[in-house]
Amino acid sequence: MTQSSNIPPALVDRIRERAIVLRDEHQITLWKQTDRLFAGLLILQWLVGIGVALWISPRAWEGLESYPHPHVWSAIFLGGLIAACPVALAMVRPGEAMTRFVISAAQVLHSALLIHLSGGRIETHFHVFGSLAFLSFYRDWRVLVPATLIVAADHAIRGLYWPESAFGVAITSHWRWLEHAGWVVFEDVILIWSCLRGAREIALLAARQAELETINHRVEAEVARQTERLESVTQELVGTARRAGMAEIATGVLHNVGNVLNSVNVAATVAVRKVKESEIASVAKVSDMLQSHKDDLAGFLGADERGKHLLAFLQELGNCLDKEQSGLLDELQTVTTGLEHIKGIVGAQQQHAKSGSLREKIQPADLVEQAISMDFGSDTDPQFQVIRDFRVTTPIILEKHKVLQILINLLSNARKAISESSRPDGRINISIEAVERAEGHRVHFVVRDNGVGIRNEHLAKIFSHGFTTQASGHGFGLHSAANAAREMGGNLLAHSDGIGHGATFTLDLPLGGMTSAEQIVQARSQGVPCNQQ
Amino acid sequence: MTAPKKWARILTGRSLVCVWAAAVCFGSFEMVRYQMKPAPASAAVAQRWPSSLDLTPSATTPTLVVSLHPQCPCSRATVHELAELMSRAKGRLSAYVLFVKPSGAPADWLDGDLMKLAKAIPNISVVVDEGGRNAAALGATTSGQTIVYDVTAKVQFNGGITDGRGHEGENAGLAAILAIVRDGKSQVSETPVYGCSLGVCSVAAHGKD
Repeated sequence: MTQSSNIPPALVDRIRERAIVLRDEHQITLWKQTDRLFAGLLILQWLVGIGVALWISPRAWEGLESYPHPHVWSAIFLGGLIAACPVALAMVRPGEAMTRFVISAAQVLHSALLIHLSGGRIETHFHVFGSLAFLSFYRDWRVLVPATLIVAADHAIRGLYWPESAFGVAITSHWRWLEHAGWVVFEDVILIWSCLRGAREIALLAARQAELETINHRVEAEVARQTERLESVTQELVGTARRAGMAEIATGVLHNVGNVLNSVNVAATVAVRKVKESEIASVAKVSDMLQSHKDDLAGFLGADERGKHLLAFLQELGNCLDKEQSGLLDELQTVTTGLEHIKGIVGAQQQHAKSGSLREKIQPADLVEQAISMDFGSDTDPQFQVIRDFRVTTPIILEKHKVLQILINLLSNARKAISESSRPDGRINISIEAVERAEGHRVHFVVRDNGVGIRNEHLAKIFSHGFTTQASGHGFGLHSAANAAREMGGNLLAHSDGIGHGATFTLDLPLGGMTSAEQIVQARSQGVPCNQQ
Repeated sequence: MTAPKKWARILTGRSLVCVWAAAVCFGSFEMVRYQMKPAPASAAVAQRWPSSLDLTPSATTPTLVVSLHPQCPCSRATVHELAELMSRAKGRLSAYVLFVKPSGAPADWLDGDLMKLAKAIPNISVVVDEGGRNAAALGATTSGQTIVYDVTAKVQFNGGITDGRGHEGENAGLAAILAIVRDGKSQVSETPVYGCSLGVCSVAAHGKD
């Protein structure tokens, strides 16, 4: 037995025991298979014997009378008897030593029968030697013993009582049977050597298989251990990724909320300033003036110079307060809208966390206006000119807050790009277009500015997390916008001809919620050309 | 399996094998006994060449006459041994093969491989013995019975040239005839005959022409 040098000594005994078990299993399997082989062979020989008898000596004669030749009966009954026991044993007790020995005996008995049926033809005697070779299939040298003993005994007995039947002469040496048996033994020697060698090979194979099994078990155990470790690491990685993802999402949400809060803050500041500058204090002054002249109000209003102008003043004050109220309402509306959007962003995020989407039918132009309002507030900045080109004017189904969040990001970036370029004629073109593609109709929100532009090498990573070209930027806005676009089944595209040439961002979205036919009808009802891109 | 059951199983198996072995031994014995059982010896064989025969004996070599039943399977070995004998005699033996055709035999009586085998042997005269008249004159009653006359027309050998029914191989009859061919005489003048009955009655006259 050979063991690999890396097998611990403690395993060697186990391998040896396993090798013995495997060797025995292999031998039993071999013996059973060979038993079945011989069962078939014995039946075949029986049938062949009957055929030989019917062919060579079908009938015996006495003049004109005939009857079945005794050889036929011998072939049927004696041949059947010879085959019956070993065939039965091969079926009910395969692999047992007794079965092999009986088969061995039956095989040479069949040789004798066939020799007899063939009229003692010398050629039939080769059946004996062929049978011995077949018996060596068992790789058990002991099987050759019964066959050899029967051949020797047959010749010895015949030599004693009917020498002419075995040797062809009536008078011969009592030891002549030894010459015949000697040739059988001669073959036996070779076959026994072959059997022993075969048995050694079986033992060697079993030893190798046992060793291989042991190595396999060790490898499997190691693989299982490493797999377990890998699973643990994977879980850690998943946890880390989840935390990182949550942080990224939180960053995106905060960024979007921050954008809205800017406009809310501006609106609130303006509102506070307007309240501070309110003319409401004039009402108190008028009240004090009237209080001081309460005893002669008619004289005061009619004779006093201030009283004469009081009514006109009150009318002007009312107008002024109306204007103030309107302005405050505008600012408060901006605050309310901003807060509503913040609520929407948070709601959308919560919805996303539930793996769902919040789709609603909305007017795309309204969305764009809302985004403009968020980014620019009510104050109009003369540095920026916002040009609208809305070719889709009917409601479409979109995820409102995601689209709004993206548009706010794009508009905010456009404004910053124009500010950085310091050009006085800053211009932002916003368009909404319906586009026909092979996969269906789509809507494009295009934000084009003539700001500072984007370097070509930056375009490839413009949507990467943390990448920014702005000094005060964080690199979250476009990244989260691109993610949101993908979540809606769309895409966010960036284009720039380089520094100083501005940039174009296109939000490409499917016209979801409508069948293709509806989309086409809708697009045509608007008289909108479907641009091929 | 418990020990008693195991032993019972072993003993049952071995007992059955012993019964089987005994049955096989008995069957083999009977088979060999039949093989070695000769036909009854002829009551009388013509001691001198019968003058009534349609055949002519050789004046220079011993003359052999084999009577065969054309359908006897055991006689195939006789024909093979005859071929062996003729080969070893090297022309110093004349031979006739009589195929007995009893009265009333069917037309295809002589069809068969035995006739073909015999005709294939060189220096052999194959004769159809109508009604078995020649066989009866010789005193041959069993297929394969071989009678050898010397140049003086005196019988030298009577018997079979196989050592069993349909069994080829060296045998005493073959050796005796070869001795006659070689030395003019043999220690063995009679051997058992193994074959089918020819169905004829011997009319040979002991010691007469």
